[in-house]
Amino acid sequence: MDTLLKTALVGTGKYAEIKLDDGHDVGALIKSMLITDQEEQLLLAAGGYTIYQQAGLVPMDVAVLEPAPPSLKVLRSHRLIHLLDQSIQDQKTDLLQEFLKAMQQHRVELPYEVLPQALNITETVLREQLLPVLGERGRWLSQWNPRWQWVAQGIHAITNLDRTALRRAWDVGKLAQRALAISIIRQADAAEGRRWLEETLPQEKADARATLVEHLQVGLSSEDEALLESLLDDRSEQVKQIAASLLKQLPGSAFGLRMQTRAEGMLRKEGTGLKTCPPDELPTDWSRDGVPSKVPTGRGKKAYWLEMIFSAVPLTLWTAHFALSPQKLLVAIQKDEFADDVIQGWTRATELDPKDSAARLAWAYALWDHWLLRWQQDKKKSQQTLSRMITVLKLLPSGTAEQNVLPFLVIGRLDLDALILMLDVLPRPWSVAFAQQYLKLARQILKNEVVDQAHEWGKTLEIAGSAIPETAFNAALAAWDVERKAKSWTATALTQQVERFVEVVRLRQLFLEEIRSEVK
Amino acid sequence: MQLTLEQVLQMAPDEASAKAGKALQLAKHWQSLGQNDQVLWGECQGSALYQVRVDLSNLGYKCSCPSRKFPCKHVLGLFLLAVTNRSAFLEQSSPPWVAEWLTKRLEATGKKEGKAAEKELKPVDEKAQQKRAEQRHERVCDGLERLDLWMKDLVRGGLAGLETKGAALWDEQARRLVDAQAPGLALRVRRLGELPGSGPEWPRLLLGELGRIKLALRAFEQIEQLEPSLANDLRQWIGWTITSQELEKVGEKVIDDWLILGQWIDEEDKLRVQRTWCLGQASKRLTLMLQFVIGPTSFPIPLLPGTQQRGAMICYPGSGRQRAQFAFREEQAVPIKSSFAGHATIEAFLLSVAVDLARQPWLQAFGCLLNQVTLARSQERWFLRDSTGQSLPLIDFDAWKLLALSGGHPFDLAGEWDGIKLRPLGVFLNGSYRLI
Repeated sequence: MDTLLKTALVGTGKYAEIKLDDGHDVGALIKSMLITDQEEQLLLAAGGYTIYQQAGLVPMDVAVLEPAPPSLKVLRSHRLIHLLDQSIQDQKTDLLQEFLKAMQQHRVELPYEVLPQALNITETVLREQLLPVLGERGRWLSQWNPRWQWVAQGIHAITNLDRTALRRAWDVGKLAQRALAISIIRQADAAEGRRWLEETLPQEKADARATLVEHLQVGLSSEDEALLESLLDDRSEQVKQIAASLLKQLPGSAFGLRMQTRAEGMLRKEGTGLKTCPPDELPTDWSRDGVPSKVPTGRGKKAYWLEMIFSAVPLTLWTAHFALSPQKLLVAIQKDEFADDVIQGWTRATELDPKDSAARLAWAYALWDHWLLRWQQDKKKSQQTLSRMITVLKLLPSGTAEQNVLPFLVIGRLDLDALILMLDVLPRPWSVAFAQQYLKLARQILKNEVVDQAHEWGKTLEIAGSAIPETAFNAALAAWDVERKAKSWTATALTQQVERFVEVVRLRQLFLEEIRSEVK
Repeated sequence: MQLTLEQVLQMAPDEASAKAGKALQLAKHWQSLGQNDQVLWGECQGSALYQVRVDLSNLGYKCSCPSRKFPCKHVLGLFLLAVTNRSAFLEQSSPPWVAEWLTKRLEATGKKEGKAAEKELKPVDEKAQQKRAEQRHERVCDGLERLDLWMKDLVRGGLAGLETKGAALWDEQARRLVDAQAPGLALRVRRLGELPGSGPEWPRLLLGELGRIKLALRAFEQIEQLEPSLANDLRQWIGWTITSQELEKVGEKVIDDWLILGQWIDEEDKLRVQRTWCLGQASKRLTLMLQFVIGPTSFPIPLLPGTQQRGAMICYPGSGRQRAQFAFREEQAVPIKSSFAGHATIEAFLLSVAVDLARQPWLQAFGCLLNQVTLARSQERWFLRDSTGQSLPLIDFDAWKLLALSGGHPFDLAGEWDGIKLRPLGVFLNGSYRLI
């Protein structure tokens, strides 16, 4: 056929005679037909060879894939498969997290059908939850696809192929692509990401430096301290401040100690109270640590410096330094002219103490009371106060946090902006009591249409859909008063939101019921 | 009707319809859902209240919406709801709008049969028929002669450089063949236009296809000397069609439980060809059912892959014994219950291909049933491997789900072999049949 093919490519017109393989059945057959027309010969021979080859095809040998070891605890219910499949496809992270958690609790593994989709998930939080439920089959499957190496190599793992692509994006991409690349590589290999930054930063413009340095936040550790410390000498004020904000998160850093010394020097006991004594002019060494000489419009210099420095010092320092409880410290500072700024700084510093430490909790209780009072007194209900409340609410244990939010679940005092933010940070699932209180309010609202901002109210229902505890499912699914004809736009919107809420709760109920009947 | 989600989603004309259908699979979108032995129905609130009904005997459907996609999202939504939540449909007698539709369907079938009977009764003007046949034969002969000259010109000038010529070269020849009443050949010639420049092997593939056509032209010159069955195959290959009435007379009727193993749609411009492979459970006949439509309309006979149904197939005359169509179907379609007896090795399957080719050398698609095969992977490509280690390359498809389901363990496969790659259509695995 090769000779024929060559002849056909060049054209029979170029040959006085075409060659047929006499030794081959097809060649011999065509010759025996005594055809003189070269093109006729060639085409018939080509047809003959093609069918001859097709009929005599020899299959190739390919190595066997070592089969997967048996799995015993795989979910088989079609409903469960469908629910999992839908949640993955629709990227319903909340639902999926709950489903995966339930599976883990019942010690069952993901159905085979959804494994490829599940392994394609890139969200870290979901990957962590997927690992225990992948089972033998999932782990076996993951070895055949380079994109699924994260199963064997850790949830942040990226393939060499991805690494090359990221490096390329880092070298030649636009700023947004480079930022994404550095963020991904930091997650997978923080040291490598740091090296990329160290190599490139000196050649970058100030804006780009600021954007890229920000991504050191991903995988931040004390190994980044030297780089960050060097960035305090950057020409750009913005870069310095970003470096400072990262350095303050590193416990025991030289930067942290410098800030601590400065903070201690600015607060002293005076009688029963506390007195701040910020400097009149910015000391030069403060400037190096990202404390700006020019402060944002509307803020005094001293006030701003105080807040900034206090936000960089762990709160345990103060309770130890003055031997006072957080409540007492908050009372003691009240009369100082910079009391607000100090408390702002303290609130921002809550994140620096170790999670779940008793000291941080004590501060959270005290700060909540402070900010709640401020909120109640503030007629304008400033966003800043609200955001401080949310910062503190996040630190409180679920019971206390719910207790603190309960007073906001009353029709007369409904502040939807505040409520949405608070509900969103409450630990899930909610307690039955809290869920019931929420449902009572939701039913009142639907019945009386007392909410103008239907869209905003819908957001609380969206949160509630995934936060209602299983023990309150029946209460949530009990008939809603939605039968009446919707008259207004608000009424229609409220009805639709309730329907969506009910749908999510029903899905969750279905999943949990199904999983239980499956493991029986 | 016990469908699976996969089966319903495979009915969707495109991804968007499947997605829109999924969005309507919850009972809250539906009113007056009902069912009985014959039919399933519901009303869906869209821009208006759309009435959807499904005939359970053959899965025929109708929706009152103005969509030009078939099935529309409402029909898909109703099917999906029936799969996921059958209890949402109340058992009751059909409301008037459903009953009327069913009656019309029955009347239409009756009319069709009536028309056919009428046609049969009509005296045939044999002379005129003979004349028409002769005229067509002449026209086809002329067309084939011109094609022969053109192909010879092609190889005389050389195939090199054809990749720069574009599709017009082939389209023009295809049009001439349509004028010459050889539509089958026209389609093949148009398809040749896809080969130049399509990959490193294109010259070999093109020469092979030209050779195959040449063999057909040569055979047609001596069609009188061919065995009647092979002559029939050749005529169909070139483009003669057989009407249902003719088929009824000359086709072989096989009554059996038919497993609808799988289907795929081959698209050529606006022409869509649905290729459905069926297997007779007792007769072991593996048949290919072809349906043609222009544009995104539904195929006239609903065939649901993954199901089995008792009925009669009429096989087209020919030595290939491959193409067939349903004459009638009885009872409701049920999911395929048990696996099939296929070839134990790839070698045995290829041997059967060689036998089929010896009988009908223009066959280009072969139904493939293989037992106890596994997926294998080499150089980023998927293969189907038998227990002896021999393997066939698979078409590009998302094999990960099949690998997850099989875990490297054996399964039974139904597919279509085109001489180069195998297209998997369904597998029998862990006690159930799944579509690919």
